[in-house]
Amino acid sequence: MRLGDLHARDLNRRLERGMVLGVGPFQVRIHARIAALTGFLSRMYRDFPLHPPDGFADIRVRLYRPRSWRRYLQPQVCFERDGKRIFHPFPLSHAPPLFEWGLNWCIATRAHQYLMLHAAVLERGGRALILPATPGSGKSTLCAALMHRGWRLLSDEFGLVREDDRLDPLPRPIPLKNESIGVIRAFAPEAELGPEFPKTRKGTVAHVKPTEASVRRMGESAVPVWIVFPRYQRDARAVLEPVPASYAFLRLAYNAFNYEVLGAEGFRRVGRLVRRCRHFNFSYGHLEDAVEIFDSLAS
Amino acid sequence: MPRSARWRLIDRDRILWERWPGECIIYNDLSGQTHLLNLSAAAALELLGAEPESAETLAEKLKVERAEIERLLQEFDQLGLIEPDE
Repeated sequence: MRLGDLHARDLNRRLERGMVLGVGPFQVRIHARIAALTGFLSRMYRDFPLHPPDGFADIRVRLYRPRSWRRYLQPQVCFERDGKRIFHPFPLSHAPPLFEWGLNWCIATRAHQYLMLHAAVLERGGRALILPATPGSGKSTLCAALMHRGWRLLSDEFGLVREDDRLDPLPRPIPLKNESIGVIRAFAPEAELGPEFPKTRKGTVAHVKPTEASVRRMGESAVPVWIVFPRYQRDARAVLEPVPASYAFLRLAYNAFNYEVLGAEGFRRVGRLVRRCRHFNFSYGHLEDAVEIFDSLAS
Repeated sequence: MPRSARWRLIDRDRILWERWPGECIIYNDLSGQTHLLNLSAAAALELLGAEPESAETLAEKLKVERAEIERLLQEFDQLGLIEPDE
């Protein structure tokens, strides 16, 4: 059963009791009674599978309105994992971005069976393209654009590298910020965007729903083949340049969520990844050019 | 550092290597640190992993100035990659 198969009333009831959603390799129990979050989940996660509510969950989260006089003036929302509150409260209307960031935090601090690269990952023909995140890279915009031009989304945030070096999918809504929202609306009118959340800590944020195929195939891992460090520069022409292995290694390792936690195993996994992939720097100023370059890389 | 002092790699099994043509990165499992080495540093560390060496013998084998080797040994020591052979 998928989340989208539930009637609104049943979805509310499940969320109040604790709903277990399959998100990539994780089963996430979500407990909440917040209308903005319910609406967000019913749109952005409608293709995701539901698991039995009393079944096992890897991650257990609860979003709730704190009980204080403030709830009448400036209502807020808190995020809890395993019964313990994390993060400062957010304005109630920002419950969906709080859920997304909170879930990222839960995964990044717990899923150490993986080497977790901070990267977008897309797949075509079983081969994965890794786009590590750095400030100003335009990673999420590029990722959303490629997802709407024939690439399967594995993740916008986590490159989950398994012990056997394959990458596990973790498709989730892609958060776009500020100008990127309009860029993707114009580039891919078919993209389904959720509501805009103004004045978050990252400016205005809106999420792009993962394509149905990306969610349906989230059990299919992929082989890493390309590591591309993107850099957006306004109006720049698209240039793809090979980079030395040591450069790719250090940028990947220092940008991973848990390279240091994994210690020697992290070093070995990054080393094998770099040896089996081709690695490039990529600067671009227009999404159409970028799509063309990646299509030629994959052909 | 005494002129005759000999040095060895701290623990061969705890230093991991990734080598590519012209490049080398190592991981020191004892410190949890990752280091990018140039070719002469990598060659010196490999020799110290094979057997204890003094600055003088290393300089001879690598055909570089002794002062440069002494600087390198000092840096390796500070990074916890080598220890005196006693």
